[in-house]
Amino acid sequence: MRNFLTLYKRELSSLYLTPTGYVVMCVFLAVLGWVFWLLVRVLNLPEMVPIEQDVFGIMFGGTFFYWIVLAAVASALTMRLFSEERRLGTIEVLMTAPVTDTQVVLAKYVAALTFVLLMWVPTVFYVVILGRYATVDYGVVLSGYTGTVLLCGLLTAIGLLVSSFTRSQFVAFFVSFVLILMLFSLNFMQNIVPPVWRKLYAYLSILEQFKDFSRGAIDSRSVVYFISLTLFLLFCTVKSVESHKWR
Amino acid sequence: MVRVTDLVKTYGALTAVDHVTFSVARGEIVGLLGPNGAGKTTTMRILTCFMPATSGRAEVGGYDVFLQSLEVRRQIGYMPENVPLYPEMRVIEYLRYRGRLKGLRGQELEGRIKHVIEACELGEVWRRIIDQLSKGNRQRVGLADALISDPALLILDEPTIGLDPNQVRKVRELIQHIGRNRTVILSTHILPEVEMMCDRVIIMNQGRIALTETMANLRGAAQRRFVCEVKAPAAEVEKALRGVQGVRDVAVTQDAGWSRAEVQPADSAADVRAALGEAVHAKGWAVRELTAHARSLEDVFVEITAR
Repeated sequence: MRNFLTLYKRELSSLYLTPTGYVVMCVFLAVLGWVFWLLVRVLNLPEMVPIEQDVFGIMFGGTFFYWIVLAAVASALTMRLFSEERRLGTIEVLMTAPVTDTQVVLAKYVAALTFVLLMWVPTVFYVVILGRYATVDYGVVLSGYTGTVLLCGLLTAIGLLVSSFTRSQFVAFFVSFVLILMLFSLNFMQNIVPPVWRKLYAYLSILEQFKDFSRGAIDSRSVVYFISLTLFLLFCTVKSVESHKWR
Repeated sequence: MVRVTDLVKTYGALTAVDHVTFSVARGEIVGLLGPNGAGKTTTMRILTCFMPATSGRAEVGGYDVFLQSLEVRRQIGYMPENVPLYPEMRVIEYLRYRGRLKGLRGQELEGRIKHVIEACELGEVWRRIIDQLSKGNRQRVGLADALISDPALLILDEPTIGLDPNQVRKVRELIQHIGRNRTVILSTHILPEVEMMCDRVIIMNQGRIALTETMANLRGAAQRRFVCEVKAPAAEVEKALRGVQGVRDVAVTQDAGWSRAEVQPADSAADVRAALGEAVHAKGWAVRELTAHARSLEDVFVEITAR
């Protein structure tokens, strides 16, 4: 546990010490702030037909921006985690210290996830601000944040796994971004695959699994889906890190 | 302290380490030499548990590097070639991080940090960001990292590369000081450094051990030769010097009337200069040079690795 904490603190502080972390945070908050402002303005237009969904129901997974921003943020924040260690050669001093591969992988993962989740903290002000002028469905807010935490956990695990394969940050970013987009697209692909595969595609589709969170419901099946897929990807990352010893 | 038995490491069709066997005793400073690609770094990486061997066995302090990797890593201080460091960290942050990773805490950690900063002369740069350090200072930070846990075994890959002559001398003194009660394995291309610091030398070539010898034996068994340059015909010089007692072989080359004779004594420890001088004096030849040459580690290295 001590080693995990030592590694975790270094990883988290390195995210705050490099410009990438700040750039990602600024872009993320700017986009999310803009989306929130846009939604409030559009939904308040007099000619707007009243819709059932809450502002936060749309904000959490209801817009194209939400998905693209999360894919970009996860890819950008995880791209350097292993690839930079390989490029600098620090992987050699890291892996010859008395730490296990699992400790290293978990520390990097939890540090990146902490950074991602801390970026969401300022968005709580949107809820507070809107709550002062309108009725907010706090159930949707709670489930939206819960889904977002689970989704960020999964996307961070994808980025970390890809970063363990390459020494190029650019390759890591690009591959994980495309991979995440492909996972998003499974939702659309279920319409074009043979009927026998549809159920599987629907189950694997992140968008499909996230739907309930946007509606204010927390389905345990979706929670299991996100957590199990995340753990599987972390397991693959540990094996990927170990694999440099087999080669 | 270190026992390597029949170690093999292959990368596809390439055999980087080929059935290597050696051992290093506690408190010994061993120089691992060899041309580029000889398998030195691979051997060091296996010993530090960075990569496993394809076959064979390696033990550090009685622990198997593959099966008891964590126990082995707790005993090792390692400085890889090119000294990889985190550029965004400050020197003190880096040393604290590495110390904690190696199990140091509280007063013990702060004490060790103070010690290595002093020992590696980082007093003026300990607050600086690593990215802003010179190559020499980065090298010293890497060395401080290797020393921070006061390891039983220190493995250093090119420890003095990039340092200025004063720093090189200090690092050598530091390694010799550590070697009094710690085991050190160092790889370097600077052969006089090995002659100065090491108790024993292991020369690797094409993945195999070409020579394992103590420096004392190397110095003692060093084949001496004598050079005698006189103004006389080559054939006469050869005949005269072959007749000197204690001379085994003579090879003469001629250059502008001067004959240069390389004389091998029958006994490698014998000094035949006086006898050679008398022989030349008896002939009345003019003498330009009469010197003794010992075979250096460099001569041994070139001889072995050029095969």
